Amino acid sequence: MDELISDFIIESGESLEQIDAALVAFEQHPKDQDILRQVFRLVHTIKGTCGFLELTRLEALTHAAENLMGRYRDGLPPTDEGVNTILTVIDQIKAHLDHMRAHDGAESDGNDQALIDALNRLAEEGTAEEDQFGDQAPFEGATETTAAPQPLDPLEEAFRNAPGPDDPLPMPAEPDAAASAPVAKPAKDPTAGTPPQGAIRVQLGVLEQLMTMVSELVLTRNQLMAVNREFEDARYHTPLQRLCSVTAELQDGVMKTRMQPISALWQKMPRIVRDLGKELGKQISLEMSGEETELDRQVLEQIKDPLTHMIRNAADHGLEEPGARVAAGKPEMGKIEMNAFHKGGQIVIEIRDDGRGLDAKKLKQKAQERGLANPAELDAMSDSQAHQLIFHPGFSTAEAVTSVSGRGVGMDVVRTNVEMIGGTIELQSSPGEGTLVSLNIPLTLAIVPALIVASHQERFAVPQRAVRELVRIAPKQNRKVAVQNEEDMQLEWVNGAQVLQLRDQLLPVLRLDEALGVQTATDNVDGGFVVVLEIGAFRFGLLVDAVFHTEEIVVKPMVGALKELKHFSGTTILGDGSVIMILDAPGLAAQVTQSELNDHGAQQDMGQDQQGEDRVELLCFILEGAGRKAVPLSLIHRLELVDLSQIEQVGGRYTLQYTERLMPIVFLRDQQMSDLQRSRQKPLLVFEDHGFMLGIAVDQVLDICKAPPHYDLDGAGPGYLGSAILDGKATEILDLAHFMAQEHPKLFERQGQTATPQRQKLLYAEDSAFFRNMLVPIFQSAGYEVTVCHDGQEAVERVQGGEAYDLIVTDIEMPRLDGFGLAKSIADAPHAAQTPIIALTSYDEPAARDQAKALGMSAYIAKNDRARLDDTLSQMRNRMDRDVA
Amino acid sequence: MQIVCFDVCGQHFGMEVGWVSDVHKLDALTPVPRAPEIVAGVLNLRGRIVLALNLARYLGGAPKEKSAQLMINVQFLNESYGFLVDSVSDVVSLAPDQVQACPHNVDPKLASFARGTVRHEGRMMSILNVDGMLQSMLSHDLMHCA
Repeated sequence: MDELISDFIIESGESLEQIDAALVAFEQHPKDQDILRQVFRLVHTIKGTCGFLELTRLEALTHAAENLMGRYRDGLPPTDEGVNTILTVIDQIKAHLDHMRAHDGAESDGNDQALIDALNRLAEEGTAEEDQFGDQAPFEGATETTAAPQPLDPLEEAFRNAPGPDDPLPMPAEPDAAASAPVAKPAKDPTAGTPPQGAIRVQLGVLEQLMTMVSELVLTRNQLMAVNREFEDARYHTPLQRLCSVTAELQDGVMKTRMQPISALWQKMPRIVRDLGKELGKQISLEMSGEETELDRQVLEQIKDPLTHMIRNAADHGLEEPGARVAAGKPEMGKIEMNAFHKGGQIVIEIRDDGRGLDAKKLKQKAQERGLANPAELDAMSDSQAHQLIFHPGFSTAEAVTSVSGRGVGMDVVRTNVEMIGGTIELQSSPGEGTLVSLNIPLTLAIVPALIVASHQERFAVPQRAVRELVRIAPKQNRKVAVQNEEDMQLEWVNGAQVLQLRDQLLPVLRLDEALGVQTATDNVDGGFVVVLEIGAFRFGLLVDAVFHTEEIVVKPMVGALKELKHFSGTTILGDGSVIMILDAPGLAAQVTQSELNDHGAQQDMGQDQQGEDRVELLCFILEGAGRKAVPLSLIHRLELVDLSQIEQVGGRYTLQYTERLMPIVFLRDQQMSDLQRSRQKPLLVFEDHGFMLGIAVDQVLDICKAPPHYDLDGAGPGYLGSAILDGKATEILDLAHFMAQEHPKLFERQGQTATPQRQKLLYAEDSAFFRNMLVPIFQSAGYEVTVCHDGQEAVERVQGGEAYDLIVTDIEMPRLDGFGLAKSIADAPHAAQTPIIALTSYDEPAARDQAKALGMSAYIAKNDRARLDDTLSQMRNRMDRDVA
Repeated sequence: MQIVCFDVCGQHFGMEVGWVSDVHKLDALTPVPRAPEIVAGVLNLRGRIVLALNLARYLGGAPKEKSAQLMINVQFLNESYGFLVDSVSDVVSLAPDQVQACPHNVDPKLASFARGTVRHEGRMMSILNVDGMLQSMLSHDLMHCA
């Protein structure tokens, strides 16, 4: 029997049984809205499904019944006749279902016209009656006993006038007569009366419980066997043997209850494809292979919707119209292939169509329309990257929303569903040839293959999903004595971090015992194994003492109280009954990167005195062919995306009309000139200083990263302050003042001119080369003559040496003498006590702020607060100018 | 009420028998690295994973090496917990009025989840409120250590 129909029969039969009680209640309290709705829903569902399955007879019947019940639901008071008729309909539905069950899903001949007529008549009467009685109708509903007889008169009158059987009771006999064939036929086949295939539904929890118990039984059996081996008692021999085989069979059987062939799911597909083809006017053939592949029923349940959706997609979007196919030189009949097979402990399900394939250009266009990505990103995308766009939420390529697809459930939902069960989804497509979607899904959710490893006599399980390879580390003695064997792998140390050179890759190695805090001694590593794990694109090695074997483990969730432990993802019980912990590869990976970061930070700290906290935010970007560059985020005014074709060349300089002004554009490398002709979009960093704008065109903006304040300033070319290691990569820091001076020579001139004839003198104490390079030009552009000191002590010495300054700007954290110390010393120096002091700091703490105030500092400004720094500088200038005047 | 009497580090304790699902010999305990101190490990009890808690450590006594021999199993919020104890002696019936309030000088931690004390076979026995104790063990100490 068609799987779809047999499902329908089972489900409808179950629902009918469920509402049996409700039906009885319905008979007694026909006006109870809850019961009415329940029955209505059932009839409605059956009607809908019948329409889909093309069971016309049942559909006509349920449609008429639904009609009447809809009226009752809307407030028409049900009559005895109506209730009886509905009950008759329910019985008739049951009879139909029984017939279909016995006849391989075929509907019985004939029709239920008499019953349908009765239903329609009742529904029409309702209309007439409502017209007649108008507002009274609701009242009748309210007072059941007294009001009920009232409408009977007109009803009976109408009833008498209406064509059809006189008495409502014989009515069921009519349809029965019409459908006498179905009722009669089952009698010929006595077995047909039993429920189909003897299937029952069992709660998954019950099965789980059963499985746990069976595994326990296996353990107990194993223990008994061990005892028997020890004492060799012949009397136990036979019963134990029996116990063995029975247990094994029981275990098999229970495991089988979880597994189902994928055909259980695929059986529905030909029907769906056929219907889709009809609806879409396409000829589609469906080929399936590997139907016998077995899957955990839970997994099967989870991939049901994604699979159906992908089939719909393939039929609707993938395959072309017949005309288009012929034009493309393909057979008129479109082909969809489904294939399932085992591969590396996983099930692979492939869905392939020979349709038009994905159109990368169209996808990009769509993505832009939907605002899913900006043009620059899309431009940079390869075709296969563009194909991935269909997994983006809110993406559908169907040009028209058909009833088949485009219901707001897209491939993103498919992917989410697949990933939820630990699977992955891949998509390959070539234009004109078709699309291949492959799902990699785990066999089961409950059982995973795992590698059992040991560290310090304790065993742990590593899920094999993450394991890429195993590497044996040669013990030390061998290495010393024997000639260096090329094959021998050894661990090496890089700056206190353990690494393994594996072919051309240098892998960070995490010691399991250290990660678990079992032992931290670093020098007694002798031999052992490195389990190479891969999480996403991140590979690392896990050093363990021993590797045993792989085992299918039943994953048990972590004990609630221990969920905090990130190293473990759960627990499992091994064949010998012992409990071991399952290592969580992502958790361990996090520890590797964590410790790497920490190490990195520690080294930074050592190299930079007390300035560990002193970090600047930098915007990193890429210049094609010139590597990573960065610029302090605080200096950036805006980030724009501009069309290169809009950039004009004026007097040998590149300019762009920006907010109704001309902004000079700096290209950091020459090759980009040729791009101007093409209309490519590029990110533009916009800087602004005293109304002067400057744009710097870059190729790709990467990210914002925190930078240590100290840079290697050697070898910086013009336009660069120096380079730093940002996120582990060498990055050059742009010298903005250089470009500003280059593009706006007036900016510096002007400020020089408008300032008082003699420039104000500013003493700047700062130990960070970065800030010296960054801020000195700012002070200069604000019209100061800057003297730079490398720490507070130097500044004090200068002041005490008699040098006079109009303004002192100081960092707080400095070696030898900090900013506060400097402020104190200045206050003690008679000729400098009145000099205003601005404290610049990288961290803004209220306590430090208070201290600055207490010491009489004029301002306390965060280093990255460019606006406030500018304001304060000009305020100071104005005040001093006034003083001078 | 029926009270199961047991000894931990030489001290006498009791808990209501209704809580106790099993008392069994301790074997094959798997330690959990990085777990809080009071977690002795996990073990398999008829297919259920049981979190073994070191009662001696929690109740503050200095545990003798390998002193715990038995485990008392309880179910709490759908999970299984086991308390390591030195010995389980008896189940006694007590009338509620036999239980006196804890003296004020007992450890406040113990007092927070002890129902009271009672004299049993010549020794003082503290009756433990199992849910209170588990809650206190799980919330405070586990969160803190993990």
